[in-house]
Amino acid sequence: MSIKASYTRNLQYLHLTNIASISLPTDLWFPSTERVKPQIGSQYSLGAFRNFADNTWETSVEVYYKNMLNQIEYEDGYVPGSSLNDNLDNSLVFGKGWAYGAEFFVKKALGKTTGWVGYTLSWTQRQFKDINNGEPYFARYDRRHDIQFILTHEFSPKWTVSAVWVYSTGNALTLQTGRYIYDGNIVNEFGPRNAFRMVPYHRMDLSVNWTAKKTEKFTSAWNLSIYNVYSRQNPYFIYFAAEGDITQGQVKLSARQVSLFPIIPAITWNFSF
Amino acid sequence: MRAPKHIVLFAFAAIFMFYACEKEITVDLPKPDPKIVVEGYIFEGERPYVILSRNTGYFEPIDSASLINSFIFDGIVTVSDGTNTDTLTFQSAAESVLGFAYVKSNPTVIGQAGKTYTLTATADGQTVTSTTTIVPAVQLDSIRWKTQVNEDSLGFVWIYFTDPGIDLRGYRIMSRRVSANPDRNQPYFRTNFYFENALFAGQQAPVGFDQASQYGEDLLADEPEDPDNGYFRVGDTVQVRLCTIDKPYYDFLNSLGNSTSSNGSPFASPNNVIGNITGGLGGFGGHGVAQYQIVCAY
Repeated sequence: MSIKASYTRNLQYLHLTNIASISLPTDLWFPSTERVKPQIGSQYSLGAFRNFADNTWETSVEVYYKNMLNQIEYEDGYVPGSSLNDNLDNSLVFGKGWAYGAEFFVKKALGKTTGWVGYTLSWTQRQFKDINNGEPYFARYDRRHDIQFILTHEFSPKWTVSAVWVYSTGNALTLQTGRYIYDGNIVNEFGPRNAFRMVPYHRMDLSVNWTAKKTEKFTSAWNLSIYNVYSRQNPYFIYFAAEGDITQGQVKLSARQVSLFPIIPAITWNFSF
Repeated sequence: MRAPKHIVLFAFAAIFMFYACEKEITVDLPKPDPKIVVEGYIFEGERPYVILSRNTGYFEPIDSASLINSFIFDGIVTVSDGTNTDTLTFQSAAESVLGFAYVKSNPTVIGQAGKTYTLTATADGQTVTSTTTIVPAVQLDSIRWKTQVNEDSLGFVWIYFTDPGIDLRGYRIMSRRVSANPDRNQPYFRTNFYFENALFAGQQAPVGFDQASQYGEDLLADEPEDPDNGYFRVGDTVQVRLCTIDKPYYDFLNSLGNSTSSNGSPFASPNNVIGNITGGLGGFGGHGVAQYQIVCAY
């Protein structure tokens, strides 16, 4: 058994922020400027590692805490294009973030059946004076649970089967909770920042590999894989659609979720010579 | 041997085409705290008028019944200028675009430059308050009408005024076209825009504008064709109000504008409109008024 501890301090000169709150995962990269200071991250971690049965099994547990300074976000109410004659970085506000969690890992490295399971439990929060009334809120990509499971079995030198299963808690969004009418306009009331969670993301992929021919001069293998075997409709983004006509006095709002990839089977022929 | 292979390929393609990639979902949104929305105005030289309504949950149906229900008819509103206090009651009011508002028939409180007004509204078991000051109006240096580029009879009205440079304030420009012809007459002053004086404090500003959109125009499914394309035509009689507003009310209008202009856009970051109503939503604004009339001529 070995125990390892580490401390890392990073400075990053490229910043990521996303504009959209409820929808497209639009990510924007900013360089550091006079106004946008470099991000500073300090991470502390402590882990215990142990192998069993002559290195057939590897296991580890790690805990970490990370402190982030000079984080950026778009200010509330920002709309792209509204700062056409202004520096984009005047629409940014600054704050800090912190993350902590634990990672558990078990791997079978030897034998006909190999694979590993990883589970991470984590919290990531941010706090900005100008956002959410200065209260801490969960980051967009805060992932409470993250599970990865990979299994490979070699039936014979020619046939290998593998399966992958991933699970992660959904992204956090800021959604409208209410609305009111002011001066003939409909005004939206938003709930607390990133208080709403999309449904969890999970999918299973299966794959079968058949090595048809393997000689010194030529190798050929066929692979059949199926992405998202049970065709889960994982949310990509959510939007609200209004149907109806207000002059007829009837408008209905509904929430719609858009997903990207259903079940996708694929056949691949790999060869090398 | 060939046929089964094709079928297999077809089957692969067909499998994932049967699954739609968009579906309606139920979103469990928490209901918002019920709040009173105050839309209060006091223009210089006029009596105050207030519209009260309530907020609703996001998925509540929007139909004529719920729209009417969102307005509050039985509230109690008072406005005080420090010396006099008027109790306003819900009745027909010519100055309100809705035709109704909380007003007092024989008002003792009238908008006056430099005065601070306090509003209290009680409805639905809640009480909200707000204060606003009427910033003294700024007179125009000049006003004229000019054709727009590539137009010979359509154009903007231009006003020139100098900011006194004594405080942080906002300006709200409102206009309406008056006409004997009911099709061309705009019965109410509508806002062209509002801005703050931070960038031109103490200096003269030229501001040009065309017609302001009329009440509810954005909500109409089919807007009537405007032969003037929103411009003012030569010969039109236009009334213009240059209103001065205090900074807190300007900040409210600004955040309101940000919110309504980003309505429905998936690219906008969320913002809650910050009003100047303590305990409620909305805004109460005192307006200093400099009103002019111009006939558009070359």
